[in-house]
Amino acid sequence: MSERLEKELRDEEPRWSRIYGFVLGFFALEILLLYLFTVRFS
Amino acid sequence: MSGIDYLVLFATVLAIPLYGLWRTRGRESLGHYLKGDKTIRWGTIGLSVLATQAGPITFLSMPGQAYESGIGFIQNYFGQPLALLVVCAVFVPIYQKLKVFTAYQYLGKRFDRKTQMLGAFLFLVQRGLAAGITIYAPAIILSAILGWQLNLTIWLAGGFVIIYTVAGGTTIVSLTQRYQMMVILAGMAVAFGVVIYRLWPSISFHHALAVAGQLDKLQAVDFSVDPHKRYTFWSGAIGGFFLALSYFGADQSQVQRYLAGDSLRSSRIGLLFNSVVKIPMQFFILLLGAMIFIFYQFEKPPVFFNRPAYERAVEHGAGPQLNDLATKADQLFEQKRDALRAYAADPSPEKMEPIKELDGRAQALRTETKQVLNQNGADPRSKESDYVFITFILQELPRGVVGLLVAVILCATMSATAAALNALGSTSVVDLYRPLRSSMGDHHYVVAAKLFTAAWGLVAIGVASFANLVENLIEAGNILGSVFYGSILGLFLVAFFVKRVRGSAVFFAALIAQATVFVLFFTTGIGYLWYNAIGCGAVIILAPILQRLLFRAEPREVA
Repeated sequence: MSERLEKELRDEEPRWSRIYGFVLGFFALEILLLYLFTVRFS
Repeated sequence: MSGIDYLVLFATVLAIPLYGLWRTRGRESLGHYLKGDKTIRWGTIGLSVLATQAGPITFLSMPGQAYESGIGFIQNYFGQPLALLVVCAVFVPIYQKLKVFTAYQYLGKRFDRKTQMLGAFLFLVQRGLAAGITIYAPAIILSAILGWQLNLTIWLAGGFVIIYTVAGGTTIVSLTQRYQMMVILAGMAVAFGVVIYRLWPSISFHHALAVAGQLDKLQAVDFSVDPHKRYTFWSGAIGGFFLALSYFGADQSQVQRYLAGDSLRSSRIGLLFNSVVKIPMQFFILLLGAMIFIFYQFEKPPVFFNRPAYERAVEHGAGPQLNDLATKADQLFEQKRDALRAYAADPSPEKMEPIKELDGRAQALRTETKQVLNQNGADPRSKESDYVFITFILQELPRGVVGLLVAVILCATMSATAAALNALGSTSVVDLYRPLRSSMGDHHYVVAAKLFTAAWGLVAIGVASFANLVENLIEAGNILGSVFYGSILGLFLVAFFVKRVRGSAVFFAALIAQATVFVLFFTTGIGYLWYNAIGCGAVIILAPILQRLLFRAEPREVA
């Protein structure tokens, strides 16, 4: 488990960084949409 | 509730745990009991994490919160996606690498035994009380509205959870949460569909949104910097970040959910699933409340949703006064409905003005009614908003769907309570009991974990049985968490990022931080989310100072 984990951490970090970037972008989009929703309906 | 509702309710509530018991029969190792097995994939982890956090209060109280104050509560979740990214990148790999059963075991490995026990103790106090509130909150409302006996409702919600959590451990908790969450999401979607369908003859969805917005129900984002405002972008993004980081990174009821997976990848994707869906899910639950508000502009609402409080005031002799207020409310309702119909037929800004003016008068009337109720036996801390959604369910939804929605509330109670009991039992055994009796076999610890889980279940039911209403139910859990989470998170952040600090320095820093938060809680009125940042910041600042001034010579001790 530990060796597999070390390998997983080492090999897949660049891919995880991209995934985190995508999630961050999605979060920013959610806030933007909520802000536009507030402006439109308040 | 009709016979078909009871059938749907009991079939839903009982079938899921019974299936879980059948699926998890005959597995007895400590590792399996506390961490689950490899059959738990990211989808189950994602739904399990979602169910653990949501709880019954989310589904029962939140639509009422939006009905009364609008959807601004959504901002409390703004810190969560960022916090989940930090948990995925920093916390999860460390926990997986060290193969810990509980988060506090890591504190023992990094610092010393007393710090491990302090982290575990703070968690046990906070989560033990919170588990009681999780059971009590829906029980008090369901018993009042449905006429069920309060203690029976508490035992119905709590008793069955104890049985299946003790029997199946982490695997059954994750498995049942997956199906309970599916029932919850389906039930809430049906409720949303019904309210829109029922609104349709009177007003279109788009115009309903326009009216709700004009009546201040749709302000999702508020950039105000006033620290006394409970829901702003900043308190949600900063305070909410610390709350979520502490909750997901250091609260065993969540840590146990995502460590249950077969790999690091499963844990991470399960958590990221939550960071993506949480805000949209909460948005739709709050929007449901705003749409119920619009619905009750066309259908006459009860004079007061908290029916038991209303009846108590009538018994106290406030009947004539309340009847007078009800007559005025009826007249206002009809005037407002006529104005809204005129707006729906020809939506123009000038037709909105009389609606706003009438809504202001209706709100003033509700405040007056509340004052009369408070003077006549109603508990001033009980919130009208907690009764809005359950009243809508019982009065407006078709037969069968009522049973489904009451099942949603009980499923949410069971799933959140099961996760809490599972974590309380695990922490008691791993962090407190096993260090004291370290040479026993696996079977001994499994039995101990089961006994501790059952004991915590009884504590939770005890807290629920003797609890009084604590402000708004929706807030109680978050306030309790915020008071304790800051110092717990501080312990973990120092462990991860301040390498030179050792056990005694961080231990005393956490004690001072916790005492500071208690003092602030009892003496100031600042928004509760800030306690997370204050407690955490105090530990991070104090620990290196204490290390330098008082504990410079302390050797590294490994538990």
